[in-house]
Amino acid sequence: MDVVGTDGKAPADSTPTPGPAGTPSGGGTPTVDNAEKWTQIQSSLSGHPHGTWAVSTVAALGTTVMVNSTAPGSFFAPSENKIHLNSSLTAATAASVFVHEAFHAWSSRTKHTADIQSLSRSDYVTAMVNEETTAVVNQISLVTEQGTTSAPGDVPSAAMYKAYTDAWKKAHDEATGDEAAKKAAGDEAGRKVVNGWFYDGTFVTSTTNQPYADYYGQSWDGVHKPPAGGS
Amino acid sequence: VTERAALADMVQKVEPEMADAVRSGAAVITERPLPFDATALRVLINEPWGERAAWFGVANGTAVALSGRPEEFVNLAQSAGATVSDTNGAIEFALALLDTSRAFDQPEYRVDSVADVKMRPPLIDEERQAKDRFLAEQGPDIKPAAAVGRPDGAFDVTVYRVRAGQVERVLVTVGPDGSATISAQALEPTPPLPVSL
Repeated sequence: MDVVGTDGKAPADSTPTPGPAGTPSGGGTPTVDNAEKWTQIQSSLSGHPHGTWAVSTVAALGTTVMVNSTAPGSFFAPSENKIHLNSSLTAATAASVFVHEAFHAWSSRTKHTADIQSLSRSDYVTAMVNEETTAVVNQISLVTEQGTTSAPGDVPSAAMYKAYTDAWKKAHDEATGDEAAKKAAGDEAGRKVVNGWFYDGTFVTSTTNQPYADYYGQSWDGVHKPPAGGS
Repeated sequence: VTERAALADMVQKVEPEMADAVRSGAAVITERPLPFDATALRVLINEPWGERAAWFGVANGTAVALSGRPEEFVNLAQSAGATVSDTNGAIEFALALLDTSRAFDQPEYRVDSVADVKMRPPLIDEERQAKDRFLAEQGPDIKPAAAVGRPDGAFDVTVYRVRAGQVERVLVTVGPDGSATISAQALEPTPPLPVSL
């Protein structure tokens, strides 16, 4: 794994096992609905820390991966413990999306995802956007580990990758302390850039074109302030 | 409740992943009129990490999945005996086709002018330049949907839309019998546009 972005590449995030302690262990291969396509997807992930983390974590969680899903979009469905990867995706795009959805699966199954019932609106939105941020940083880290500068599917696009890399390198180079401290500064700066994309309209929902922060706030409103006549 | 149950049974046959939410009332259902004897329904489901949505066409107690399947819209139209006889009818038909065949995997919407194109903040200099060039070179050309008749009785409808990170000029050729073909050309340069996860 690249540790320092001195060659112009963005560094991989420092923790291939993201989030607090509690990641299930066990590894192996997840249950899939189509072995042939899964093999193609896995070839984009194997040998890369963020890819292998996603595969082994999903396997340990008992999450089924529907690589030929006909359901609209790609998503993690907590009620059925399945990751749906739309059948229209190429294997390379599906691999990137899988790394994203694997983090949602991990967050959900290990109870690290935000609780919409107990949190305030502000805390819920912040926590959900933070979860999304980690999921995207993991995709960016996979790109670095693959030795490329963008992901098929454009998360990250080449421009996003460069913005992340530039922020990381600047913070890294300006930080004091040992290399670990400098890398932590880079990771924090890169993460801050990605986090902002969920508020400024860079990332929007595909259904209603809302920034994700607005969407999560609206979801909270739906639970705590149901519209009149709603059930 | 009865209508939801009936719709859920219809959806179960073509998109089983969404049927339970329709049956339970968790799905938000929006109706869109169609220019022939059928109805389009958008089913929207709120999930923990985002919404899912799909369009269905309903006629004679049967539902067909329309999202990502423009050919199913044409089948629905022709089964319903659709006819298109003038430019206004062709525009109405083309817009219904484009609206209800969107797949909801990326932002997609029609635009009548460049002001309707929702851009994201540029991230790098190349994107700032692309935005300026797009506004100058393509902006004036983006106009509301327009149709012209063809010698063979069909109509060419030109529509502008944002789809999957591009601004497109879409040509929908609509036949008098409700047949249709779609071709799209991306406008260059591509301005910075939002993406979905």
